[in-house]
Amino acid sequence: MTAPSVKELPKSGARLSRPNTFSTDAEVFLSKLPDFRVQVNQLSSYLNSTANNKYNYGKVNGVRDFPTVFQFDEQDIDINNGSLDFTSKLDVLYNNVYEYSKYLSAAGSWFDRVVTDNGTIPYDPQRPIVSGVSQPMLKSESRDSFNTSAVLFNETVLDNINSLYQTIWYTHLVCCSNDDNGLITDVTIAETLNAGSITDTVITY
Amino acid sequence: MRVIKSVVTTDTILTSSNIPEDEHPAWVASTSYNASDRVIYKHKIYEAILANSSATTPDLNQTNWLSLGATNRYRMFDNVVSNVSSRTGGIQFTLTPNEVVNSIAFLNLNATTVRVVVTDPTAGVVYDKTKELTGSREVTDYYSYFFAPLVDLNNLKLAVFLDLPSNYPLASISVTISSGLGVAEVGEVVYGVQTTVGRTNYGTAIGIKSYSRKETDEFGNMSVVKRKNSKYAEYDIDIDNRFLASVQRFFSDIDSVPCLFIGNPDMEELIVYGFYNDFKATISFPTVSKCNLRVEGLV
Repeated sequence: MTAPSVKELPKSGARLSRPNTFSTDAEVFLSKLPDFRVQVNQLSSYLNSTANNKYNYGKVNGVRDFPTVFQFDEQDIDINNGSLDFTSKLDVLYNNVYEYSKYLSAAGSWFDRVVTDNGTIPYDPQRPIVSGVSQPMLKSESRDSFNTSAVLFNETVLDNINSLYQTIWYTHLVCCSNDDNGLITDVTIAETLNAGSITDTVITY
Repeated sequence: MRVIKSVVTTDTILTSSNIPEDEHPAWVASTSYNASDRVIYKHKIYEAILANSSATTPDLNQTNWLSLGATNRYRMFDNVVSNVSSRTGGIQFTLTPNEVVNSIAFLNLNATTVRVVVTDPTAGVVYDKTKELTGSREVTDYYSYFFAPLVDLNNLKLAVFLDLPSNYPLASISVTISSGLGVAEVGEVVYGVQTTVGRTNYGTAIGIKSYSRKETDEFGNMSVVKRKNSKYAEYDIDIDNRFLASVQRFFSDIDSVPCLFIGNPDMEELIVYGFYNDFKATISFPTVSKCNLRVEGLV
């Protein structure tokens, strides 16, 4: 099985920095979120159900690169902080969701390459779980329902971004690292272990 | 509730400006002018009604000259909020009132930031503040973030600085109104000493008076002639009885003087530049009087 692909979202609207195109951008962006959510959840399920064989170090020329994924600081998106702060943070959040969508398919392909290189094991309890994304807000919803959906979507998509990063990071750590301990700069061995002479010739235990 | 009685701006106060005053040539006495020629005299633009070569200045010669209002440089001081001074790339000017000024307000702005720097000849820079005018007050929840129309309200049209230092009467006030590479506009600049007259209460009413003409003919067809409008406010104020006499004297003093009335500096809708029509105080309680103040805004 291969990682499900995620289609890149259209550019999100930015109310503050690109007001002239906001209405159009935001509407198109909003309309694509349901498909995005389905695809992201499919990819997340795939990642969760495919545990890499961390006991296999893979080929010498195996996967060593790290895909483009990122983490996003949790932000307090609260309308009570003032509408400018609120609007600004939503602009940033949705731009990050757009950026995130650009790299997901490539991240899935990277994961598949690791699987090909290292194989899988039935279960890895140490690996982080990628969380799912809730139903996004829809234009057809009532205002109250839209607001509720938006809060949940924003929180879950943020968790998804961060947990997917952690999963990729963990996979890279256990399956793709070279165990590089850095350079040896100390060229003089100053200490030798002297255990003394063995005087007791009878070893009892 | 605060009131700023504006200082009248003169040549000696406006010590520098990056807005040129060269829309038309300066008026010269006894020069021959054709009808429709335009000249500048005392920071106002005049248009010749008739061909003339009078030695009488245009402001005193209404037979020959028609006033078209202030020049671009002086429109921000002409007591007409809707007439704006404008300049592409931003407006900069310096005021040296040579008297105490602890407040300055900018009305009918089209800009991104306003910066006020107060510099005293001996103490140096004693005040430097910038106000961001970009806002998004129409966004009140996630739904409005996506669907609220982007209107002019997106930008604040007003900036008020009420905390200029009062102890530097010789200081100059440098103002920078920025709008990036676009056109910066300001309708009116009001500066002076603020007077606190009481406490604004709930119950204060605001409105807009329209001067547009809407006429319906005998067949029900409506014709609309769009004109300017102005704000008005009816403030409900509590005044300490101890200060009632001085407040009354103050209102007598500013009768027919354009002032900036600030019900609440954080609420643009409660800030009106204009004249008060009516001030009425009822001594309702032993220590507090209930007052009504009706203010008509300038167009």
